[in-house]
Parts: sequence; C-alpha cells; structure tokens
Amino acid sequence: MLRFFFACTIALATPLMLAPLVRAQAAAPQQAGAASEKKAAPAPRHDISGIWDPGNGGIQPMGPRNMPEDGKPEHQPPYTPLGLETLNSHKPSNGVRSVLPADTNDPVVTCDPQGIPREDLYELRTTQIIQAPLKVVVMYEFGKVWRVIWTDGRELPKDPEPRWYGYSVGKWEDDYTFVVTTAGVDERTWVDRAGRPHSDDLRVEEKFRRVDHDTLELTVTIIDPKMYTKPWVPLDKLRFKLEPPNFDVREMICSPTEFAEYNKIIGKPASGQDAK
Amino acid sequence: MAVLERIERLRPLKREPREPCWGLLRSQIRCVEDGRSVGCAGRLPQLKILGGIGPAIGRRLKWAPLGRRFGGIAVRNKLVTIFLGLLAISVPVFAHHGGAAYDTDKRITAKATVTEWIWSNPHCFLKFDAKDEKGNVVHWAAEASNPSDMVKLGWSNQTFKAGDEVTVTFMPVKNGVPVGRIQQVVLANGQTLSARVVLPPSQN
Repeated sequence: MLRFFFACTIALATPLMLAPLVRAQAAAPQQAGAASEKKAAPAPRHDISGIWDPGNGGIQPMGPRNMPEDGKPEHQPPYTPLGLETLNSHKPSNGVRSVLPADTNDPVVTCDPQGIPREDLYELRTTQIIQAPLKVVVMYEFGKVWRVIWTDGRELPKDPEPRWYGYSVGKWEDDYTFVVTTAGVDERTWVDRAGRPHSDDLRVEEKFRRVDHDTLELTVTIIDPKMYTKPWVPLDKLRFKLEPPNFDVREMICSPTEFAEYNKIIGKPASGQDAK
Repeated sequence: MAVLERIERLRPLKREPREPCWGLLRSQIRCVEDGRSVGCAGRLPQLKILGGIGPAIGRRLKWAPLGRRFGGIAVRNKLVTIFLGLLAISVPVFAHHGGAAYDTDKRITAKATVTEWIWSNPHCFLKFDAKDEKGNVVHWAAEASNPSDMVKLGWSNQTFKAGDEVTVTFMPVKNGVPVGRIQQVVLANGQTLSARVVLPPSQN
C-alpha cells in the first residue's frame, strides 16, 4: 500500500515538475532554427564566427553563473580590503545585497555602458562574431554594442586612456580556442550585476572554444590584484548554440526615456517614492 | 467587471485536512478542503537544500497527519524530500530582476480591463483597471520582463489593446501601492500567457 502511494505520487508529480524544463528546452531549438537533434559536424579550425545563442543561461540576474551573489562562501570572490570596501559602496538591485529599485547606484540603470567583462556576465544574449583579417568583431544584443579584438599581433597599450570596453587583443591558443585579453577598462563599470568592483589594473581573459560546429564555450577569468587576492572565474564554459546565418537578432537598448517612464510607473512607486 | 477573486497568502492551517491529500503544497491542501480550484497551480516553493531539510519543512507545514495516515513520520519526511528533489529539476522563479520591493508570498488574481500595454525596455508593463472588494476601480500597473524574454514566452507588442478584458495574476509590492509583477495573464479567448522566465537551476 505504501509503495503504491509513493509510486503514484512520483508518477503524478514528475510530469508537472519537468514541464517547465521541457518547454524551455523545446523553445530553444524552435528559435535557433538550425539546432537539430542530429550530431553536430566537427568544429572548423580557427573559426568562432557566427550568431551564437546562450539561451537563458546568459541572463545571470543574481551575478555571474559560476559566482552568483547568493551569500554562499564558495561564491564570494577573494576580495582585498580595498575590494571589499568598494563592493560595499555598490548598491545592486539583484542578489542578496540588493536594494529597492529607486535606491540602486548601478550605472547600467542610467544607461551607462556595461563594459567588459560585464557584457559577458549579465544579460548575455544572442552574440554575433565576425572574423576579419586583422580583427575579430563581437556584437552584443544587450545594449546593441560592439567591440573590436585585434588579432594583428599588437600588444595591449601600457597606460591607456580608459575606455568603457577597454582594449582587447586576441590569439589562437590552439586550432579551436581563441583567447582574448582585455585591459584599460573604465573604473566606473561593475564586473557584474551583483556589483563586484574592479580597478584600473583589471585584466580580463576570455576563452572562446569551438566545441563542435554548432557549439561555442566561453570562460571568463578576472585578474585584478588591487581588488582581488587571486584570479577568479565568474563564468566557466557557458555554452552557445549556433543560429542560422539569417537569424534576426532583437534589440535590447537602454533608452533613457524608456527607463524614466519605467521608474515613473513602476520603480519609484514600488520603492515608496514619489513618481514625479 | 468582477471583484478581485481571491487574495492568497500562506498562513497556518486552522484545522487538519478532513481526508487524505496527496502531500502537495500547503495552499493546495487548503484548496482541496474548501473545494476551490482556482490558483492552486504555480505556487512552487523556492528550492532549498535537499536531504535533511525535508523533515524540517515537513514539521513546519504540519504534515504529520499525512505521515500518520500513510505510515509514520518517516513517510512524511520521505514525501517532502522527494518533492524537493523533483522541484530541483526546474523551477521558474522570480529571480530575473530585482524583487526586493515585491511581496513574493502573495498573489492576486483579478478580472481586469486593459488600459495600456507598454512594450519596452527595461521591462514591459501592463496598465489595467480592476475593482477592489468595495467595488472601487483601482488603476494598476504590473511589469513583466523585457521584450526579448517576453517574445520567447509568446507575448508581443500586440498582445493587448485598450479595452481588452483579461484575468491577471500578479505579485503586488509590499508597500500597498497598485503596482505589481505579472505572473500570468488569461486572455479573453482563454489563452494563458505566462510571464515567468525560466532560468537554469544554478541561477535561481
């Protein structure tokens, strides 16, 4: 009798619990178009070009996928005292340290650029990569921004004028792994949605690995001795699926007027502030 | 327009269930008792640690009668742990954007008349009128997610027009102003649209 009730409970509950997962997984191939159930062709050499979809795994609302701001010790970056002090001055609107929408000082809510590495670590959506003779151009859906990664052998500038997206150079580590190093990122940007800080000494390493014809992996490493006692990995092998070449990428633009309207109708009232 | 159908909040059971329930959520047990069936779905608890947390949750939810009926407290603990394990597979939760302002334990389901549908970043939002318990018209504004997310869920900039009669389920803000976060909308043609973005379990 007891075994009967256990079996019935599991049998009834399992389809209900798996339904959201099935819907999500079913939606991704329908949007991708080219993604199929068949085994993918081998990875082409020295080629990460294409239109790549990370699915909902790129949204990362609680902070980067492998180091979310969830209060767990293993997910806390190795802050220096300055790193911790700077972290505490950042007031995010997500994660365990979140504040009310109207109280956040997240630069993105005023439509400041995300910069690198945050463009990889928050709202990473469909990403287009184009390879040209001397450079690789990466175009991001969120913010509809692009960046150039130089592949002509140049070194990173020694003492550059800061840029929101820094300066990037890239080279092939092997036939299928493209490694990008970025420096000179403006200190006003945050590392991620959770408000992790960086200094002007920040270096970001991104590894793009072509797993097979339809799959790309991205790993991001943060190196910043002023803010962190050792390098840490906020994103480890996030997978992208290849979209067909005629896939139309949506706009996700931070419009100041749209944000002001949102704050007027939702953000300020929800925070107990006068909407005017 | 109908009045607000139900305001649901987790609260201690006033009495034990009259008859066996299938060890489901506390609110679903109540719905079975009272014969109500609306709004029981979608009340999934947030995932906690498996294993030892099962008995603790079982005790808090006072599922002892279920255990006694079906074979003891050990059975209750197993049921809770099994359900938590199943929930670990995929749980659509409100974690996409900041939720500090919202009363995450509360849901309001209301028959409403759409006044405006704003399709924009950072979030789409629906303005609608619904009557409160006293019959007064309240002007609500409830947000969803950004257009990129909403398209994947089957919404579009043409999903609503002013005057549409819909049923909205939403999470209100804590401070009592008529602002909320949409969970789902039932259109006049009966179609149900969810506004809940499904994230990988590691991001919940």
